[in-house]
Amino acid sequence: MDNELRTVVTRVHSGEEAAFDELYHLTVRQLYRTLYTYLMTRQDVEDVVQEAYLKLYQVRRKLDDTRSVPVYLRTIAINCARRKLRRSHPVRALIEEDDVSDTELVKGVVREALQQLSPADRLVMGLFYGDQTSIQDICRMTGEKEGTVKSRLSRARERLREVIDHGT
Amino acid sequence: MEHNDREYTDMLNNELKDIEPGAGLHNKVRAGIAANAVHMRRRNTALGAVVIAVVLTMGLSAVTPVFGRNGTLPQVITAMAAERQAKKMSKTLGTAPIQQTGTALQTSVTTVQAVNDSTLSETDGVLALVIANKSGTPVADVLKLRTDGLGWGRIMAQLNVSGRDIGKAMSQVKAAAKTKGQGENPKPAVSNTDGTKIVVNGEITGVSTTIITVDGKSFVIGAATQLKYQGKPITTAEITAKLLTGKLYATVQGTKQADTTLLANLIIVQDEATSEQATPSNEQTNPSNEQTNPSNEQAAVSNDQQVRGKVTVVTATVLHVDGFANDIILNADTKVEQVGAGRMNIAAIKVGQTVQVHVILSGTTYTAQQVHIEDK
Repeated sequence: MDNELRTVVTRVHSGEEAAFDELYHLTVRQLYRTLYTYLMTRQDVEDVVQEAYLKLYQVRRKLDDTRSVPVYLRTIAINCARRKLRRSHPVRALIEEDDVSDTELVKGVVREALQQLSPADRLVMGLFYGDQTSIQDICRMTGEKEGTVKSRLSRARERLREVIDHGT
Repeated sequence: MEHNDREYTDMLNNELKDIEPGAGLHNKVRAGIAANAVHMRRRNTALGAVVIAVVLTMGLSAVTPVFGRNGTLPQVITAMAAERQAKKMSKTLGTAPIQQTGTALQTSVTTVQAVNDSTLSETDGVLALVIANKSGTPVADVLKLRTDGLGWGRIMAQLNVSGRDIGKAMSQVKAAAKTKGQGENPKPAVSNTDGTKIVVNGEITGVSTTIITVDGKSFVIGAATQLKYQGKPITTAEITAKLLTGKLYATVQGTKQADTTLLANLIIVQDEATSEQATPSNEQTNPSNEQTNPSNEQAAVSNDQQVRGKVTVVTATVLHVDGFANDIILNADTKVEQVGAGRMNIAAIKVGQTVQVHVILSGTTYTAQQVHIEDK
């Protein structure tokens, strides 16, 4: 996968149009899931995915094949998602530590528990446990300090455990 | 913190297992990229059009006064540069930049006063003085062009003054200001710096035994005040009598007193306004109260003598030179010549110029036979 990605990135860098589609197919699934844990609605995720790939396309000739393109892509996407949250849910964006929207039908206890987390905590949780991303990469993507990321993870775990154990 | 907390990983993976990008998302991404490409093409086209329009406008404006009274683009640019220099100079000079500029450029106090009396800002005033000085044009003409609404660039082009001329003049002013700051000014200021001396040209609008009003300024006539008419003493009663028959004009050289009143030292009464009286208010000030000129050689036994010094007052008929206490009469027989310019007329004599005058004493009247202007 890594070798394939590196080859594709090199082709994208050299200006091969079809290679960009291949890069999309190699990276979109992980990106989609990451964004979903953050935004929790498919419509918002699709909007952000489009915006993120457009931005990536605009800088495709500057991509360095040794650079971690997936991390770079997710960094772009997280920034886009933050802006989207701020625009569409200004109140939630401002006090996102405490307030969580219930805009989507909750299916299952885990989903409910995730929805009770703040978007930022949820994102860190999704990146760490869902995508197996290292703390350092999460810090790069979110621009947050290591201590903050760890606190978010700890808080998210406690909250999930609470909901799963006690249903509240 | 490790990823061995499988419970959470499994929990999340289980929850997100159905979360997959839709089949149409790739098409949407591609459509977004295509739309952006079109948008960028349009933006670049519009940008190109704007650039072409700007280039064409600039090309056109270089030869056509597209900026109206501000002139062509080069003239506008020149004006901006000149104004920037003048502004900087005003800031550097600090207090009274117009006076300091006049001093540095050896401009007559009348000229400086004309600029001061105009509605121009200090920056514009400095520029007006410099342009007048460099073009050899009376400042009144420069002020008129400006009040007519012409931009400085256009005025400079009209008077054949380049940006380089302005730069040189500014350097001259700067150097003079620096020298003055060191107390080593080799050329004493023509215009005022201490503000105690004042010279006013204008119509006499009132006179009594103790007060004379010229051009709206009232001067106290003291015991030491000299009143002259055609080189001879005149009394206030005679002036009053003459005023009954028509207008009278005067050049008054006075001193500001501590109580802000003006004491007249010398009043030269004339039948006609001098050319400098065309300016609404010709209040002039002179930095030096000292009227000494050791170089003036007055031949005690001869009727001929040479007087050398700076012109403190000049009218069409009377000349006053710093250090020489008497009126020097100018008449049609007076030859005037200037270094580098040759034969001139009396109008070429300006306040502040250094002159050497060949004077003939006849009775009590000193008449200038020849005036040699040493300033170019």
